[in-house]
Amino acid sequence: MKERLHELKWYVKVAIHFGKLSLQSTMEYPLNFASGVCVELAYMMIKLVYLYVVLSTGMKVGSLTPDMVIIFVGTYIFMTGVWMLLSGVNSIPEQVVRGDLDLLMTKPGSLQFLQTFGKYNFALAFPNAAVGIFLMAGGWKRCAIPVTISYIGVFVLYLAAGIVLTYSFGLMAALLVFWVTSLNAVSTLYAALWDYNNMPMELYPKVIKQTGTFLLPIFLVTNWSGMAVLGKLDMVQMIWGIAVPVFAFILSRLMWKAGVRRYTSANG
Amino acid sequence: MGKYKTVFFVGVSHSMEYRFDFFMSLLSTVFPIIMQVFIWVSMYGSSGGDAMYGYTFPQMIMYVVVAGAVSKFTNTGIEYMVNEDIHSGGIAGYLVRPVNYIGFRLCDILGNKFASMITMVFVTMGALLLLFLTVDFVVPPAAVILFFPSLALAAVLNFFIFFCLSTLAFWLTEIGNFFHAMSVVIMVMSGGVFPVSVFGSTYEDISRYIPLTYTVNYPIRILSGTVGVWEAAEVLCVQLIWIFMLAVLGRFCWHLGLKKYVAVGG
Amino acid sequence: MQIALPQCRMGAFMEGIVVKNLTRDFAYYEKEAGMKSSVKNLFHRTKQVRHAVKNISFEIQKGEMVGFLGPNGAGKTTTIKMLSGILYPTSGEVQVNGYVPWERKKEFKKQFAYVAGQKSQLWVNLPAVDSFALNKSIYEIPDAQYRQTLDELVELFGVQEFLKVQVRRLSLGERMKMEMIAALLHRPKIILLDEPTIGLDFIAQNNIRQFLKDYNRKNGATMLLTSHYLKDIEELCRRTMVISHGDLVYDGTLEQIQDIFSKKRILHVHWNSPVQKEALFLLGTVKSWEPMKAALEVDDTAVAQTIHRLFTMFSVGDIGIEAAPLEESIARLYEQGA
Repeated sequence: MKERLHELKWYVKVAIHFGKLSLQSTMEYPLNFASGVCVELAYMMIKLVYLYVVLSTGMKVGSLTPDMVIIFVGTYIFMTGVWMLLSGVNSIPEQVVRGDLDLLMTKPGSLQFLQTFGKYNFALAFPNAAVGIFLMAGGWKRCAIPVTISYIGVFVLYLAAGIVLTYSFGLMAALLVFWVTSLNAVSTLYAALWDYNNMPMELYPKVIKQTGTFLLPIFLVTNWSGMAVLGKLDMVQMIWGIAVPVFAFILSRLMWKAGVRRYTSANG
Repeated sequence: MGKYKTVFFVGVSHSMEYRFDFFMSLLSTVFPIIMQVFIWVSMYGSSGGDAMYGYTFPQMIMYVVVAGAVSKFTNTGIEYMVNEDIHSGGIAGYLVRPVNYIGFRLCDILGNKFASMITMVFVTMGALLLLFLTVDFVVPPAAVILFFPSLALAAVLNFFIFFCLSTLAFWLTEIGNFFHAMSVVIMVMSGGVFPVSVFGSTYEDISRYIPLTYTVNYPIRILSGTVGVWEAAEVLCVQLIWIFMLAVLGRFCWHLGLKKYVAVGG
Repeated sequence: MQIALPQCRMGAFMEGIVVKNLTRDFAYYEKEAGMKSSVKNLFHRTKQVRHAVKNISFEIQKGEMVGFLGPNGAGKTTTIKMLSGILYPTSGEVQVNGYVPWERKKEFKKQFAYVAGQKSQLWVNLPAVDSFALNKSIYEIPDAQYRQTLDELVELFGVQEFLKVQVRRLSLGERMKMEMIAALLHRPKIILLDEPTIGLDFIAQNNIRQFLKDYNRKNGATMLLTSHYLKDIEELCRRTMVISHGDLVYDGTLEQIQDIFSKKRILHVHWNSPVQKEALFLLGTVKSWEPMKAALEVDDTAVAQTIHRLFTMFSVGDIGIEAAPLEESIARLYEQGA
């Protein structure tokens, strides 16, 4: 028990250290930070155009009013920020190709931890997180959802579940580098799937809704927190929304181990 | 001419090298299109079937189905290649060889585009067939015939737009992110995601006089029949004029940059 | 040269490195030139196998400093990677300080270091001290020990003034020194170095060599190092292993390589009066010639006889005997492995 606690303390301490160094690194080059922000703003423009179309036409997405849609688009933009923040995950393909895992492997501690929480991209995360939070809060207000601990608690719970999913899915997509020669196509495909969350899942016909919930549970990343506070989740969905992140995390861990096994048997 | 032909075929061969990539990139072209289709299905459903932003429902579907593919097709990524060549010193190698850099890059890219051109033909035909079967949407043959040349010209036009931009790499070092942001903005402004009319009539008017819309918006409008045959011919001419002007500009910038490059020795 | 101690059996704990029948194969695919084979490769690819390391065995005692020589692609890096746990072997056994490296146990990782000349663990946008502090957290080095080790290493390398400079602004040599410091902060008992001096200038190479020597003497760390530069090995390692085409072709001292693999000697002769070049042709291969001096290459068995003949034929002022350059012997050794 004491050992476990010690280990946990180590993880927290090292993770914070990694974060600090990433932040310091970023601050050395404010211009790079600014250009990173610009890239994300350009992409965000596309995301916001979808919202603009909904708001300007006043269309309903399934049973959701335009005001409700704001929450979903906000969550989606926020999660995109989380995804972009994890550059330790996103840079895996590049680092594997360059053989950068070598040195990391010789360090004590979990290799997955050292790699995936080793670097953060604040430039790409910042605009998404800021705008995402702004939209979520704005949508929340316009929908007149009560601001109580229980509502916020549920929302944050599913937001956290979404973050775990973002990490796990991103990791699995990145890990495909061990089985596929060049990762360009995979990452484009993953980004395309990810963009399905640009609109609430209510937009899609039943087949796609089911696929995105059960088969490739990408919708769970951004829909559950909004649906939970709008009272649109049934019991099964609520449980599913917690079970899938746990399951996905375990799966990504297994895939990581398989990938590292490949790394240690393939590189020259 | 022979050496440019070889470059072209090496391009084709290279794009087929990674089989998985090849199939995956097909899929990743289709996925965003499907999403967009649902958005518009839902929109037109709740608006009661009227025309929106100047497009009837089938026309809009046609637009989004083809737009994703067209913007992917016309996007060449030349800016990254030029950037790489300039900053890694690779252009020195081209300077000593008896090839014209711009010509070389154009052929290389057209070669790479050849495989996707075949994909494009299928995507377009598939979309047309699908639209015909589902919503009885008929495209005049003249529109289809005019679409493909305008598409090829669009790719060339896009090449020169980005080539002009990429010469900035002679003067600025950390420019990768800037290119990235620009290409996204340009894609949106060219109508690669939504028809240009979605952004309001002011931008629509302006867009007539800038080259961007001629890379995506106009070719698709030719196909969807929102511009007539004569106007379509006019679009082709405008595309040619833009290509010519940007080629001249690109050449000028390139030589200006080279002078600087040679002067400081990279 | 290598004394096998009785307790060095595989399985028994031993400080140092034990390698037994280590083998590593790599699979790869081939593609012929042209479009046709591109299409063919879409459907079917032929697998090929390359034997990078073939059944090699050796032992390294605690505190020993061993050099690993071999041409490019001989299997040096592959072997070092297997010893570091970065690469699984195809077959064979390895124990490093009693641990199997590729199990990557935490205790093992805390007592060894892997340094590769072309790999960096430093954060390039930050001064090296920041990266050092990170390693302090990762290796859980106590404050006092960290400060002491850092001071010591910084002093040994003489890099005090560069500690607070962004790593990307450092010269290649300074950078490598910082990499070394980062790798050694936790006072590893075993250090595996893969081309630590590659690409460095003469002075930086010298610094690093001197440092490794001092470090080994002071801390008694076991070191295995590969290098392209013969000089690295010559100055640092009493024992040298030569690997060629995946085979361990030699294990012993460098001087012995010369003895075994070069039967040639060079005679440097100074005359009292000018001697014609042509007059020397019968005596051996003329390596260099000036009117008043010459260098002759002869077989080692013919040395005495040649000297005798030189003295009888010419008026010799001075004579010196030298072994053929080490590089030549090594090259012969490489060819032998082929």
